[in-house]
Parts: sequence; C-alpha cells; structure tokens
Amino acid sequence: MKPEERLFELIGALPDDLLAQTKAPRKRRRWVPAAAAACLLVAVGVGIWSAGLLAPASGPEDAASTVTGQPAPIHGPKLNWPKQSGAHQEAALHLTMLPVGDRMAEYHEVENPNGIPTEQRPRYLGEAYRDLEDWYLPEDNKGLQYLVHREEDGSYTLWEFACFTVWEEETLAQVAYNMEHGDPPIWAELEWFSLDMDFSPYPYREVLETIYAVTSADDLVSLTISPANMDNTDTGKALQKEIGTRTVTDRSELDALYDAIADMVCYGSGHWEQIDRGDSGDDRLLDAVRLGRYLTIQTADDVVIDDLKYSAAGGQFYEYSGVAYEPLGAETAAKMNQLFGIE
Amino acid sequence: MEDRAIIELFFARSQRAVEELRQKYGRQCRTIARGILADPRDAEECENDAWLRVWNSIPPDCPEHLGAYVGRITRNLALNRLKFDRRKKRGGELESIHAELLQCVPGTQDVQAAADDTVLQCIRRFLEGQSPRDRALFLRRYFYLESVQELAAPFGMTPSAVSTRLGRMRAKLKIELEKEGITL
Repeated sequence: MKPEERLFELIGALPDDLLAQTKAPRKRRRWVPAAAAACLLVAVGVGIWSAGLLAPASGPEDAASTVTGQPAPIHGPKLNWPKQSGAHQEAALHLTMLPVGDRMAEYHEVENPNGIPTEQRPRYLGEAYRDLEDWYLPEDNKGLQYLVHREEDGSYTLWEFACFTVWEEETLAQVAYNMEHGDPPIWAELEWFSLDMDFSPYPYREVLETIYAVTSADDLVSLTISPANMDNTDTGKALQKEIGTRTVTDRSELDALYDAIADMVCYGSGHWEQIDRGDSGDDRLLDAVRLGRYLTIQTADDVVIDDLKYSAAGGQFYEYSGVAYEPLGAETAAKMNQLFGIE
Repeated sequence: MEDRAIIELFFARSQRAVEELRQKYGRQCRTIARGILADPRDAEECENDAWLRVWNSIPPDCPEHLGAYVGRITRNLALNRLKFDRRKKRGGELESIHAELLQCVPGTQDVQAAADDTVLQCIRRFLEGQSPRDRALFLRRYFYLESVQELAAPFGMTPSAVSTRLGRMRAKLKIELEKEGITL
C-alpha cells in the first residue's frame, strides 16, 4: 500500500469522539426587530463610550464649532480603528455573507482600516444595517461599500463589499437539500437567507448603484490606470515603469468607461478558469503585465473603487478572488485597450 | 430526529430506524461512497450495505456519535470494495485526497514503517492540537471526503482559502510525523 493510501485509511481509524467534531464554528447572526435594534444602537454607543472604547468626536468640525460658536454637528460614536502592530499578520481572508437588496453579498474584513485614505475611511458609527444584529452602516459613507461589525468584545471591525453571490442550479439544489436536512446548519441560522433570493449573474450596474452610489457616468470623477504587477523581476519592474501610471479626467473617456462596465455581467467569485490574463505563454507573467491594467475609480462622493482589473488578453475585467466578468465585445474591448494604453 | 431517538428505534427493531438514519446521514454517506468509488452504482450499493450493516450492529452496539459511526462503516465498505476488486476505478475525490495526503508523507522511506497505532496516535495528537475550526475542516475533507467547494460555504471561506488552510495543515502534519521519526 502506498504511504498516502495508508494515511487515508488510518484517518478512518480515528476515534468517534474526534470524528464527530465536524461543526464549522460560526457566530450566530439573528434578526433584531427595528425598535430593539435602535435601542441596541443607543446602548452600544453609551456602553462603549463609558468603557473608553470610543473616543469623543474631535474632528475638524469640532474645532470649527469652537471658533464660530455654532453647535457641533451631531455624530454617532466615533470609530477608532486599532493600530496594526506589524508583528503579526493573519494570512486567512475573513469573509461573511450579508443580504443586500434581494441578493446575498460577500464582504471581506479590512485588515487595516487605518490604511484607507482619511477622506474615505469610515469615522462614525451610523444606523443599524437592515436590523441585523451587530451590523452597522458607517455614518459618513454613501452606498454599501463598507459595513461595520461590532465584535463580542465591543470592538469594531470594518468589512468591504467583494461581490454578490452567484450560484448555478446545481449549487442551489444542493443548498436546498442541506437546508431541508439541516446539515450543515448554516443556512437555517441565517434568518435573512432564502432560496428565493437572486443568485443569478448580475450586471455591474447593480454594484455601481447599490454599493458605490454611482447612478450615471457623471458620478465618475477620475480614473487612475496602473500597470498590472504580477511580474516583479527586474524585467517585469522595468516594464511596469515603462507603462507608468496615469490619471484620466476627460469626460468622454470616463463616459466610455462607464458604458463599458455598467452593462458587463459578473459571474461571481472563484472563477479564475474564466479569466484570461494572458499568462499562458512562455513569457507569461511579462505578457500579463503588458496586457493588464489595475484601475482606481474616484466618484463624486469620494468613494474609491479599486477592485477592477482589466486584461486585454481576454478583453475582460476581473477582480481578485476570481471574480470574473463576461468578455467585452470586440469594439468595446478595442476602446478600452485604447483608453488603458494597451497596444 | 436526534441520534438517541434513532438508536432507540434500532433497539426497538423498528423499520423506521433505517429510514430516519438514511434521512439524517444519507447525504454524508453518499458523499463518502461516491468520493471513494467512481461507479455511482457501486456507491449506491455500498450505501445500502451500510444501512444493513448498521441494522445488524445496533444493538448490541450503542454508538455515542452516530454520524461518525455510520460514516466509518460506509468508508470501510467502500474501501473494501476497491481492495477486493482492483479493476474498480477509484472515485475522483479519493484521487485528489491521496495526492494531497502524499504531501504529509515524511521523506525517509528506507526504514521499516511505523506501526499503525503509533501513526494513529500522532495524527490524533496533531488534530487535538488544532483549533476546532481547523480540526473540523481537516476531518470533513479527509474522513468525510467533502470537496473543497462544498466546504467553502459552511466555513465562510472561499474555495481557494479552504485549499490554502488545508495545505498549511498538511505541512504541519508532515512536520509532526517527522518530529516523531515516523515513516509510512
């Protein structure tokens, strides 16, 4: 018997009490009635304030109010994000599912909220989010790019939208079966979850509108185009430098970008096999740099969208975690190649 | 239905016992059987054999963890089918799992292999030293043969994060085996 076969068989001889330890530990999330959630928000604010976990607001607004004698604007509790020690960085990605509209969305925990530029960083705790226990909207951010979660120890963590969940018929059937049999119990525990939610591929317009509060091309203020950085050899770095980074504010170019991305359909995460980054040849990483661009879009509301990446190899946008978009039509892809400076 | 109630049905020799067992653990056993045996008909037969085996063994057995108990029976039945008829094709999941477990195998193979019990105790200690989450992930992959895709949703992880986490555990297990001078 081969060693790996023996190992597999020996795992089968582990004692039952150990083999029974298969529950995926998760935090319980429950519905809280609206009134109770409002009370909870007040209690959370007061309790945490007295515990010294939230500092009194001391932003520029306060300084201005002292000078002018005007009453200070009323804010929710100020959010103080923990400083990163730099000594330990957990490699695991923390992910959670939350309801957004009639869809289920994936949110990832932001490891270091202090790394977000000041003007975009959530600073004040806002209303409870959809009456979900311990989930809040940041007061000073539009859309649903960020959500705040209150942890069991009273601290707050910041979560950023990644994508909507897309499931094929087969997965839906499997989940329906699991729900019926209560194994694993996760879906039954998520009280907002329903198989009637929309799990179909979605146009990026839904993300622009719901998550980033972008309803038309006019909401886009600038686009910064950077080279893809998957090759960091000396040659790769030289190519990145040659491509360079540039910022576009021209209205017609922003309109073209909006037209291209608003209608493209997203297939959800985990679809690297559908993404052609041009990295299959001999000089694969160098080619991927040559054909790839990373985008940062600034909106009129100071929202920064920096997840979208583009590859001229497949004429398609994509994101990390294998979020795949349908390839653009030839004409649109040619326009994007021109806009992004890809020959 | 609670495990205890199902076991009581077995003790009462009620035909409902098998039906309740199938309802509660059918999917689990199917995943195991289909993971090990490529032919769905073999897997189905194996699953039915498992129900019969449980019917014949409870009583006198009175398992404390019914899921693990029936899972082990299914797993052994499926592996026996493979052993006794080498013409049978191994299931796709088993192929992947063997390839993954090969990464846990300590390098030195030129001395006598360690006794089963020694290896088993080492694996047990290793798993007991893991977080409940990691332990569950490992067992559901390598005992219950759940695919990486199936594991992602209940653990709130992406499939690639599941693969990475399992890869780290395999590397740790290999170190543990090597530390104890175990060869396979």
